[in-house]
Amino acid sequence: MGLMDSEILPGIITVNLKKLLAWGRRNSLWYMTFGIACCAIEMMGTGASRFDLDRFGLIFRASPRQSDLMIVAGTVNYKMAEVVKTLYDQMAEPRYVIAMGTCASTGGPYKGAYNVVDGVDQVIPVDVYVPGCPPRPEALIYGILQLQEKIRAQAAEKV
Amino acid sequence: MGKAERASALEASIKEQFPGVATEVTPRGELVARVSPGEYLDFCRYLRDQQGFKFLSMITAVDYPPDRFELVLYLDAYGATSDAPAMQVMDTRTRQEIGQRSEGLLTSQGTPVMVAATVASVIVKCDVPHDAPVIPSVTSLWPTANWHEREVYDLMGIKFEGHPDLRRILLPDWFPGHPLRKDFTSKPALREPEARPWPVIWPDQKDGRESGE
Repeated sequence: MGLMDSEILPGIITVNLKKLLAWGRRNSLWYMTFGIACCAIEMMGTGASRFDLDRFGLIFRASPRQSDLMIVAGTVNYKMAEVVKTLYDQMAEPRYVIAMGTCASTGGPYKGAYNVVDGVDQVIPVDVYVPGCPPRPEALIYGILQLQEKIRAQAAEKV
Repeated sequence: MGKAERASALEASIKEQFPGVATEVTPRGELVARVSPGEYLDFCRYLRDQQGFKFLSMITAVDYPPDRFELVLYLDAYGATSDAPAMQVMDTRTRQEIGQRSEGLLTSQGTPVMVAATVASVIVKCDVPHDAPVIPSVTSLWPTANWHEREVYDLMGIKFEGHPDLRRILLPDWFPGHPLRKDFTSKPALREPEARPWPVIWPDQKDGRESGE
């Protein structure tokens, strides 16, 4: 991460502030306690002890105000779209969104149905799409790791 | 007396009271009664008050274009009969005591389960005209009809006269049309959700809904 120059100043690390913030952000992605459909069961399974998202610094938060990450786990219908948008608006920046499962990504098996949003990216911006119906916990964890990599890479960009 | 015999007895008394109602008994022992919209509410009241159909299980509707909708009500009667008590305690012993030959319903701790016996079922069917789909509401008879009728209104567009709160229940308020009708074909475009203002707690700030909320 940084540059350790123990010969000049022992115990001191010099680091780019942007990179330091990104390091903190990507290792404490608190995600909202928010599930819409069956993918939420898999998300709970991912969060619980067997797969244990706490290992990655991810913990459930019960309020959008305290959350950095929204995992859209399930089919978003037209009525729910307003709720998803409201919750996203209530999250403090920087905020990230993972579309979990085919429903949240594209509408999935319900694509074209009269009341289903064909992908939650029609409502809020999405950072990572995780395919699967529902995705295995390993797939969701891989998606989260991709998001962490994205946050790291964004901070490394030259502005 | 089994369910089918009870349905036949009910059929006879309906013939007496409501000669205009066509009835038949299904192989499962349910009585199907076809009633005209004019008699619908009186017939439902008769079933509830005189025949003991206290439980409204479901309301749905079928679209038969171009002339009619068919409104369907499932009613159940519970209670004591000559051959069965109203509520039966299935078993009070634990699973260990009865071993694998568990016949009654038990929770894992062996708590007795009370089972209400359905003694009769009626399916009420009522044809509603397609061009003016209006029918009296049965919320005054069974309060649970409230949400069932809202669902039928939402998806099928049948209006229930006398319903206390006839709004859409599953779809957003702006949704055009009634999607379970046969002539509903096109998916409406998603309306952009509005950003809702959050109430401001500081009394001197004015950019929320209202200050001090």
